Parts: sequence; structure tokens; C-alpha cells
Amino acid sequence: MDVNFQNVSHVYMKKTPFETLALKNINACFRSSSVTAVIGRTGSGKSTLVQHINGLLKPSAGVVTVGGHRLEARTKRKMVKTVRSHVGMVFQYPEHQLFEETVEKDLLFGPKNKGMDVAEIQKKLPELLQQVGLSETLLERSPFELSGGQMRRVAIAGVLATNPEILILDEPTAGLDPQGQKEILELFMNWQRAYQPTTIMITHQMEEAAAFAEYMYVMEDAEIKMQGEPEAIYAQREKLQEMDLDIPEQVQVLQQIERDSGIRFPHYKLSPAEAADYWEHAVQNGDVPYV
Amino acid sequence: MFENVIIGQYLPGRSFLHHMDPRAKIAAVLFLIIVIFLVNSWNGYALFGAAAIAVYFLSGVPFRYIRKGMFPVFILVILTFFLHAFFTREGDILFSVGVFSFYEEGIRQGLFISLRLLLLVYFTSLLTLTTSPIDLTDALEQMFSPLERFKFPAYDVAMMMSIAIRFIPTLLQETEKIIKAQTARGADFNKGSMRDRMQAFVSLLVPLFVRAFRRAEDLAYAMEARGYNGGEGRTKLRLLVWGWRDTLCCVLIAAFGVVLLFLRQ
Amino acid sequence: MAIIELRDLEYQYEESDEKVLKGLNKKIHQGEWLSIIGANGSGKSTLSRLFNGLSQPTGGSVLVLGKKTTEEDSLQMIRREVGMVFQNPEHQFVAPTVRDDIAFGMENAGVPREVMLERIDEVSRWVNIEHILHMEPHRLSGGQKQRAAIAGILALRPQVMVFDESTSMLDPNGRKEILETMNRLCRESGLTIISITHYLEEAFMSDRIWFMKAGRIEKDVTTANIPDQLEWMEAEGMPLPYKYQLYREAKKRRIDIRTLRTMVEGE
Repeated sequence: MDVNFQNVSHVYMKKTPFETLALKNINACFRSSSVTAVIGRTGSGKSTLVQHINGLLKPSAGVVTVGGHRLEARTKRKMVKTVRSHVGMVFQYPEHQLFEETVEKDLLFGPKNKGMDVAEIQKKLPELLQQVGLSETLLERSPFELSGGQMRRVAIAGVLATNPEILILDEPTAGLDPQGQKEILELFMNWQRAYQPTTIMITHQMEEAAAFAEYMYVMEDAEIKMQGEPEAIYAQREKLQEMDLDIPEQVQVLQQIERDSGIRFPHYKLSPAEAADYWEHAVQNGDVPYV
Repeated sequence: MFENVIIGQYLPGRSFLHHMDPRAKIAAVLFLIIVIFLVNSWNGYALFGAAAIAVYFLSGVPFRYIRKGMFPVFILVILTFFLHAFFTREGDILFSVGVFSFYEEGIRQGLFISLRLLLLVYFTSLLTLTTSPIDLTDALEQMFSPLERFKFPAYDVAMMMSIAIRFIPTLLQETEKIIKAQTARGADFNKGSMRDRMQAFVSLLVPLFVRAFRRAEDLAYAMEARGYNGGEGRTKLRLLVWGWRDTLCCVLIAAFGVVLLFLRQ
Repeated sequence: MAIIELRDLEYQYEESDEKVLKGLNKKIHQGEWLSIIGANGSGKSTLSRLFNGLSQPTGGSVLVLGKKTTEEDSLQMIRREVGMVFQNPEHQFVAPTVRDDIAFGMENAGVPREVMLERIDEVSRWVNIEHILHMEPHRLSGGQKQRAAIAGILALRPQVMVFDESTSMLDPNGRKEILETMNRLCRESGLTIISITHYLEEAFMSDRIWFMKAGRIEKDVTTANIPDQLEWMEAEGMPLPYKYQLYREAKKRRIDIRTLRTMVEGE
């Protein structure tokens, strides 16, 4: 499913002293089955942006197109619900929203609400748990007995249970330790490979965006300030610095080596071993001006 | 939804009333509540009305906020008026509708009671509109502190109130977040049968409570780590300052009370 | 001189039958910045609560400036000398505004009002929050709330500040703000800093690192010796920053990338 934003603006608290423009004339496109990262500081408008895709917020002006459906200021609730049934959204700290008595019930909450074949989905739950890295023996347990990391995985599984065509991730790794961050990100990458949803990930960690996304939007002050493939974005180091955004450590290191030695790496996704190999060959060929 | 929460109905400002000591304001409102029940003449209500208008100009609060605050009691006021109009049978009959007769005294009593209620709500609204909840808490704590001798925990109650006030926005933000998350999973908080709604409500309440307990635990640790040990030996940063406005207000209110006594029939 | 000393320190939760801390013997020195790193369940957070008597050991003892945390008479002194900044910025903001929150600890300690006003002025300028003193917590960023917490502790003039994963819920800017503040606390003001973290990059900014595993301090290394520990760290499954991984790959191939060497080994 494609998602398109055409001249979308959003005003919070309209006609009060607190009126703020949270989105300013946004034009953006999220291609079917692609992975896009939306990056920006806290308060830049990125959460507001994605909440338009499942109608949690409605545009004050402009149109959001999701598949064949149009979401506008005047769109009826029934229509919004139809669109919503195609969209899954993992919020920040999703484990804070668990409430059912058992893991199984929580996983079935979404499918039930969205009128899906619950019996069918129930059969697949053990597999789903495995996909998020949990044991199927947890199904009958209370989610509140689990560890923080396990709770987050249950909450994520609860969103994936409806197998959404559009998957929105709002800082899914926030607050986890590095190992946990890596695992959760891998979980989503595997899911992406298997089911090909249109994935949109909000993050303020460039590393994550670099590892996962093929396209990037950079937001600041309610506007999209930059867009393009990650490599192209990182090339504009100064512009990013103006927005107080850091390029990934890996890119920083490789760029620093380039500046100091005159070598040119083919791209910045090189693993440490590949980068070392590349350097070794370049030195042998005399392609490194200052060793 | 809850981006900018106004706690209670306090409206920040710089008016005469805003600058007054909350203790003076509370005392004044209490005094007014008492004397309003002594007023029984048209002249008395006229004077009270004039005072209300004067205080309105001292408050700097836009009229629509006062109207909004008073709207819910209107129904109550109208109801009391008719109760009195129907059931008081004194004085001359003014007019009759079917089997009902309206007596002069009934209408009079009805109007008086309605005015009392309206003025009462009006003055308390102005108090809460011009005093922040924290100032109110501080003032109440001080006014009740003499009761500590009788084992009334004024200090602890005030601490609890101020923490409650502090966490209202947190709770609202969290509620909004959970509503959004459950909505995104297809829950509907505005539609469906009674049972569906109850379930939607549970899906909201459970995580709210779980988080609240967690927060309380963290908060207890944080307070203990910063040496919180109850009220004993504690000093306070917040200081209530009694100024010329407050003395003036008290004198005026006392004079007002005396004049009202003379206007009694 | 050791400012904090752990002697045969043990801790066991009531409902559990295994000890979370298994006989720690260590000294923490005045003015150093110590990082404690370890996976979830390694005991690092439990340990953080023992430094100022928020929890009490079930075996052995913790000494702060020579006094045991179990001594009732010393506890107030210890709480004042050892300040704690917690993980969740929202959950440790007690008062209605930043100014009141900074004052909270001083109010508890019975500091006179005039002194409070002076110190609020001083510490809020030191952590750069003097422009937001009037603000309520729901209008602040996570980093600002954490700096308010730091200011409130600083106002009590402590000697030690413990950070219990205080950056883990912040965005990159907030994290940078807090790390910078920690750096200044240690290098400019000479405070002893203990930071519990699961980010290696943060630990590498400090002077010394305790690697904790299953209730024990597995390794105690100064950050100058980090390059020698990379292999061990990788074997333990710690995700090394890219520059260290590349440095290791380069070493394996016996090639020398000067940029990398200065980054990892220092000037």
C-alpha cells in the first residue's frame, strides 16, 4: 500500500491561545513495501506526521492517501476505521499499554477489534511469538509477570498479529540496552523480509535509520527539511549539524579517515572487516595519498 | 487533546486579585459566603451585585471564563427558584396558572436564594481562577497548621495535594497516549454496546494504574534519596507574602459586612 | 582516600534464593569518574541503591566517608553527600516548577530560605536552566528535567553523584547535555561520579569501568587500558562502537590507520 501526503498541514489546539502549527505543508510519499525513516528532534513534528496515516489525527488542510482511501479534514469516522484496519502502529514504550490477563488475550485484542478471523490467527500465535523471539509457553502467562524486554516483545507481537499492510514504528527501541536495540531492530527487518509491509520508522538514532531504511525524511520545525537515500543525507554533514542531528558513528569514523588520508570508501555501509580489507587493498595499490 | 493543560481552572495573570495573598482571598470568600446568608433585602443584593462587578474588574479574568465556570450551576439555580416559587405560600397572590398560584413571598424567596447561589459560585470561581492550585495548597496548609496540635496532619495533606497537582498533566498525557495506542489497535471508546465500552474502559484503566504504581515507587525512592523525612525541621522556599492589598481587602470586606447588617430588614 | 568502600558486600532479594551481589570488595576514590556496566540482571542497579542507603546490604557493608550506611545517625549525612539521579526524568520531578524542584532537597535539609535562593541562583546557572526556573515539568524536555534533578542535588553540596541509567530515556540531545554536565561535574567541580550505564560509549568517557556479571565485578579497568580489553569485551558479546571494531580488524591485518589509532589510543 502506498501512502501519500499532499500539502498536509496540522494545527493543534485551534482557536485557543495555545494554537501551534505542528505540520506545515507536508508533501511526502511512502512507497508500497519500502522502508522509510523519519528523523528529527523531539517536537519536530515526526510523531504528528505518522499519526495521520491511521487517522489518529486528521489533516487541518491537505490530503493523506492510504492505498485508495483519502483522509481529509472532513473524512467520516467509518472511513477512518477502514483505513485503520490496514495500519499497525508500535508506539514508544509499547509495553506501557498492555492490559490483558494473558499474553494470548493481548495478542488477539487487535485482530478481534479489526474483525479478523480470530480462530485462524490463534493457531498462528506460537509462530508469531517465535518471530518476536519469545517462547510459546508464555501464551498463558500474565504479561505483567514478564521482564521489561519480554513485555516489549509481547506488545510488538500484539501489533504484528493483524499482519498490517502498513507498519508504523515510533522509536521502537527507545530505552533498551544496545543488545536489546539490535535484537528488536533485527526482528523488524526479518518481518519486513517475510511480509513486505510498507514500513515507516520514526527514530532519532541515525544508526538505526542507516541500518534499516532505504529512504529518509529529516524533519525540523513542522517541515520536511531533507529527503533522500541515507547515503545522500549523510553527505550533507553541515546541514545535519545545523539541525543538531548526528550522523551515525560508523559514517563519522569512515568520513574522518577519508578526510585524514585521502582514501575514498565506496559507501559507508562497509562492515569493519570490509573497511579494513578495502584499506589494505587501497594502500597496496597506492590509492591512499597520506598513510 | 491535552497538549496544554490548565490545572483546575487557574488563569495566570497580573491583576490585583492575582497579586493578593491566597490566605486573604480564601478568608474573604469564606466571609462572603457567611454574610450572603444574612442578606434579606433588595438593597443588600444591589450592594452585593455592585461588589461583584467591582471584583470582576479587579480580577482581569475574561467574562467568558466566568460564564463557562458558572454554567453548570445554572440548572441548580433555576430548579431552586421554581421550588420556592411553587411551595412558598405567603403574602399576596401575584398570579395563577391552572391549579398553581404564585405568591409574592414565594417569588421573592426564590429570587433571593437564586442570587445567593449565583454570587456564591461567582466568588469561589474568581478565587480559583486567580489563584494557582499550589498557592491554594500552601495557604490551606498554613491556615490548617494550628490544627496540627490536635493531630491533624496539615503538612502531609498539603504535600499529597501538591504531588497530586504536579502529576495531573502526566496522567493526562499518559491517558492520551494509551487511548491513541488502543485506538490504533482498533478499540473504539465512543461506540458500541455498554459491554464494549466497559471493556474499552478497562483497557485504558489497567495500564494507567500499572504505570501509576510504578511511578509512585520511583517517586518514593527519589524523595527519599533527596532526604525527604516528613515535615519536621523542614524549611520552605515558597513564601506567602501578606501585602497592603490584603490588609486593604480585609478592611473593605469587614466594612462591607457592617453595611450589609444595616441594610437588613 | 577512598570516598566509598564496599566490604564483602552482598545483597539478596527476599523473594529470591540467589544473591544479586556476591561479596564485592572495592574502593571508590575521591574525584574519579567510575562507570558500572553490565547486562540487565547483573546487579548494577541494585548496587546503585546501596551507595546512599536507599537499600541496605544483606551481608557485608558499604562505607561512605568511613561511616556505614546502616548507621541510623549517619544516614542523613550520607544522603546529603551522595546524591542520586535516577533513570526516569518524569518520575523524579517532585515539585510543581523547576525552582521548587531544585529547592526540594534543601527544604528537607532545613536550609534557610535566603541561602536557598542564593544556591538556586548559583546551581541553575551552573547547569544552564536559569531561564526555565518558572516552568512546569510537562513543558520541559527529558534533558531539562534531568538537569533540574542534578541542580537540586548540587545545591546540597554533595561529594558524590550517582547516575542510575540517567541517560537511557533521553533523546540524543538530552543525552549529550547530561554527559557534558557529568563531565563538568567531575573535571571542573571535582565531584566523584558513579554512572551506571549500558552504553559503552558513555563508559569510555569515564576514568574507570567495572564490568559486572552475575553479581560480581568481573573486571575493573581504567579507560586508558581499554584497547587491551577489546577482545575480551567482544567475546562477552558487548557491541563495540564501530571505531573499536575497525581498530581490531586493522590490528589483525597488521595495518595502521593513523586516524583510528589516535581515536582509540588517544593522542
